[in-house]
Amino acid sequence: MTKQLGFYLDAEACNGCAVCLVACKDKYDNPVGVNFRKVIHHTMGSWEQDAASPGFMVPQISAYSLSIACNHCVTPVCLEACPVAAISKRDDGRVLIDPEVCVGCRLCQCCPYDAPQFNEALGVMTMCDGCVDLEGTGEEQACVAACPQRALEFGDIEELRAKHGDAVLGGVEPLADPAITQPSLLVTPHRHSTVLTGRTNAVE
Amino acid sequence: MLSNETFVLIGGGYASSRTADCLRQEGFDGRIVLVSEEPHLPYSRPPLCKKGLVSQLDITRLPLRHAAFYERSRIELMLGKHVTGIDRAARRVRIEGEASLDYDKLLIGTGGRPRRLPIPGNELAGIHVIRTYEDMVAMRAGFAPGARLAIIGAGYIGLETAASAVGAGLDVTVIELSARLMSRVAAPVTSEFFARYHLDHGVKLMLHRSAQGFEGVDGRVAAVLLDDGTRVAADLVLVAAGNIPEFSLAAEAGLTCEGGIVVDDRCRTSDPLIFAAGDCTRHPSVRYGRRIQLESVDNALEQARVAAAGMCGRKVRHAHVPWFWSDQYNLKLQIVGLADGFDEIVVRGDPDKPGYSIWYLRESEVLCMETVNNPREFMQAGRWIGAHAKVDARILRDAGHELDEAVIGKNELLEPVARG
Repeated sequence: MTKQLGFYLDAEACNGCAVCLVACKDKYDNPVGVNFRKVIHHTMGSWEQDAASPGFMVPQISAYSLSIACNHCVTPVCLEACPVAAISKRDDGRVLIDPEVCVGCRLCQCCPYDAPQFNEALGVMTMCDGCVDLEGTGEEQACVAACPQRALEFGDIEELRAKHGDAVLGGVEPLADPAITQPSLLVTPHRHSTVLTGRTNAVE
Repeated sequence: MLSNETFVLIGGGYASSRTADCLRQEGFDGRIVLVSEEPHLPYSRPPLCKKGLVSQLDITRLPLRHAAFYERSRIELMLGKHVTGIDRAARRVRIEGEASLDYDKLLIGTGGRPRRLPIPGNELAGIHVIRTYEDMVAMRAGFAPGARLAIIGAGYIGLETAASAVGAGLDVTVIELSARLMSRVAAPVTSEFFARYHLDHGVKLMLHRSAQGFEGVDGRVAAVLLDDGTRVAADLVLVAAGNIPEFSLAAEAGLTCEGGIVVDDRCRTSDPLIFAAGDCTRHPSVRYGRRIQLESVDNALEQARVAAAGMCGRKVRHAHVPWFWSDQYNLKLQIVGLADGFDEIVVRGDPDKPGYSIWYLRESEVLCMETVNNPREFMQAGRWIGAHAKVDARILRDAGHELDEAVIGKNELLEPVARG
């Protein structure tokens, strides 16, 4: 494999507005419930002793959002689960579903990121293709172009990594352990994120 | 559908987990409890005899759905729990070491277990079966280059294991009772095709032979003894001689069973509150007009869909065209439909090369099709079988013609294969 395309997300900049999701849904004309991209709102916190007033408990809470689509993983579990070989990984790293071959069995829903989406009307699985139709046009992916916070990017994962030195590969709460599928997702973690440790996502 | 009912699902395989999923899709809002004997989230079994044996594949890559799905869908999981009985009068499931669980409706998806051979020496160490993750891990421990592996049974699991093992440098012998490979499911042309492929890769095939016993040294298997007196030396043995439906729980509860739990075309057992799906059932096929028993992932998923609808009071009948697959080396065998009753077989393409397809026809109607590495024609065949399409065998036979040209008349009812 010569290249691995993937997404970059700046979780410090993402405010969870979901314009990315809407732009994607609009472009692909997806029905209600079928979302190639999702925005996860992650909240956390607990009560802590107030150092200034002993005996008093104060809430320490925080929240952030993550915009997630198909992570075009290095070792995708969807591809292995597909009984009819409808899912393939291209030389550019994209993981694509061939709707002509898909039987709609939904076994690719084993994806820990819920990327494959069943389109009931078509009877097949559908998924983010990294806007493969825009290849070579220089245009940005629908979600990337729509983001008012400029929090999303799509490109060669090594170039994105060089550009965003503070980004980590996939492992941000509440996402799955990146060791499972080695997602091609770089995230600049929100300052309150817990970063999961997994294998590094080496491009072979 | 606001409900305070409790649906209990027994089993941790495809049938049970897909039923849970479909119940939520049906809008069922009550309590769902899935009880599985296995300590893992319901997981994918096909990799167990392939990638699982020859890599360090672990359970984290195998779940059918990840933990977050069950949480989000409010599906309670009781994993590693053994159901000891069903009290139908009290509508209660007894679970070892746990409080009993009351149900309003129950699904049994207990699957099957691998057949073990009742022959001398079958208790020796080194004799394996493969159905669970633990079976795979146990067998993988003996997978070393040069190790002699004897596989009893040339069905899907036996041959898939043979392909994985020979690729990992093991010395593989397959022993098969019938005269050809996959005789229960595939045409002779396909058996020959796969036999050549296995032989070319160094697998030894011993057809028309049965295992009569195992020879051991210090409690470990050393050889398989065949009916003709041959002694096949082995460090490791896989018994891949089929599956026995696991229906003892249902039988003990007094449900009608005939070699499997008898269900109707809506997956209901003889108790209207109890449904069953998957390998453990015998079901009447609307399509085939008789009671059949299918051991396949597809059938478990489809019965789960039908059962979930039925549990929610919706009448969905099991009228699906079944499909099957097997991955060996870089070959993907795909079969759609059941062949019985055919009056003509058409071979399309060169049966010596991947891409060929075999069509079973009855009065020109397509009943079944099997193919190697040709997923597009497989899909087309599934649509045709679903629509009872008729084909012109002369055109079909000639791969120079596009497949579409073979169909007689235009059928507007063509439907995707996976939809029931």
